[in-house]
Amino acid sequence: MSLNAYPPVLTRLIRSLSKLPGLGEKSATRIAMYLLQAPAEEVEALAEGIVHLRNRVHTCSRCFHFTDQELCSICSDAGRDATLLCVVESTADLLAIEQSGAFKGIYHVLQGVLAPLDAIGPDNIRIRELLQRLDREPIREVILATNPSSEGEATAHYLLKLLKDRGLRISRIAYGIPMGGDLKYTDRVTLERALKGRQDF
Amino acid sequence: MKIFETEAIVLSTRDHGESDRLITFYSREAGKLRGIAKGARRSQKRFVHTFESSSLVLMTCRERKSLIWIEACKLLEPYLELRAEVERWGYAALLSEIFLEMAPEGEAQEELFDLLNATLLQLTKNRDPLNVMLLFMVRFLDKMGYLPELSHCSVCRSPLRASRRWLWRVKQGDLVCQKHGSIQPSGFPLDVGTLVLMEQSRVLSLDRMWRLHLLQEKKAPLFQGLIRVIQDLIRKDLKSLKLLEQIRAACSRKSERNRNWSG
Repeated sequence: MSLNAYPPVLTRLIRSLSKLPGLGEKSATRIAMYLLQAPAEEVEALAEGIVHLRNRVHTCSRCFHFTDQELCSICSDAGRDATLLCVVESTADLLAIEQSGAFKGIYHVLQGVLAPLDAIGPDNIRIRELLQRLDREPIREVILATNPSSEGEATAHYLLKLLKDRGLRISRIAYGIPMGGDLKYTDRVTLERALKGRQDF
Repeated sequence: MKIFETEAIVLSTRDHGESDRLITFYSREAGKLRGIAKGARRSQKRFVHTFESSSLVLMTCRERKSLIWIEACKLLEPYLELRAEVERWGYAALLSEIFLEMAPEGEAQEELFDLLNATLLQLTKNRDPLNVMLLFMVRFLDKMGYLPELSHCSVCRSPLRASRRWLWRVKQGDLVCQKHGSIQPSGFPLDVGTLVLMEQSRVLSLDRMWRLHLLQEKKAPLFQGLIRVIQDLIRKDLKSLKLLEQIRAACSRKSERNRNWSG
């Protein structure tokens, strides 16, 4: 699509918006045209929100979830079980678990997983900080909730190796058939793991 | 457009756009290829768990002008045991990276496919993954034509047993005895025992090759030397070495900590 017909300011905005994930040039143009006609307060609130996001949001000094305070809302919540620690790959995974409402402990966000082809080793993710937390906090159980991908599995096994002599309970999130799933469409590895991890009913 | 089915080993997977995946794989029928799996990130049925690195799969592909389109993919062997031990998993990643960097694109070499598959299998079950990697690297460099003649000195033609120390001159692509080899930065010093074993690993059949064992003290220098040869050939550093180096350092930190506690 040619952007020559637009004023330079609008062209710049369309180019910036189309760099966002999931937005092509057409969607970016539609958003830019909407902003052009939207009430001034709405546009200013959006711009202010983006600037504040960059200036104020950082990672929690304890768990590495995003926050605008020293500690995130989860770490500073006295009602949570501080002896139960769930290790996740990313903030997106933390939010998915929080949305389930099934977990009332605290988290540690690794900010990545071991990825040799991207030159990411244990020193490049938050493993050292996890070990330091375990030295100073009264944690009794660590739940390894990295994804069941090759990288997530290898990271979980590596963490198990590092943590197994610490006298903690180490658990791994379960593998299995998703709710509403269909056995005949389930892959061989998931079925094998689901059968191995079956529970009394 | 031609549709073909082939056994393949997944070398790397990258997200592409909103829902697609770009897969680089080494196939039995067509060598190293890059393909796109449309909708693979969203599909809950077609491609679930098939594009994990180091997995052996059966792919149905459609040839296009640029990228291959992956129409279907069935998991044959995920080599799950690799993930349970990060060192073996790191070696499997190094294996993939060597293929990604050095294997020619679109050229079928069944021997290379069998070597890759057999090495992955050995990495899952062999007690000595470093020995497996060394045998793989020697065999791979030989199949790619980078290994020099190992039976005699390229200058005086004297046989291996005539000298204890040898030099693989990587730039010249030859092997010279102690008398004709002077120290040079691109040279790779080798002893006669290691050379005999390297020669055997190139001539033995693939299933018998894994019975060869290098002496413990020879493994680390040979690994460093072969890695240097590969990095010189591809003219860049291998990224997966970083993980292997970091886990080795972490393991020695942990052992030291355990020693201090027990002391």
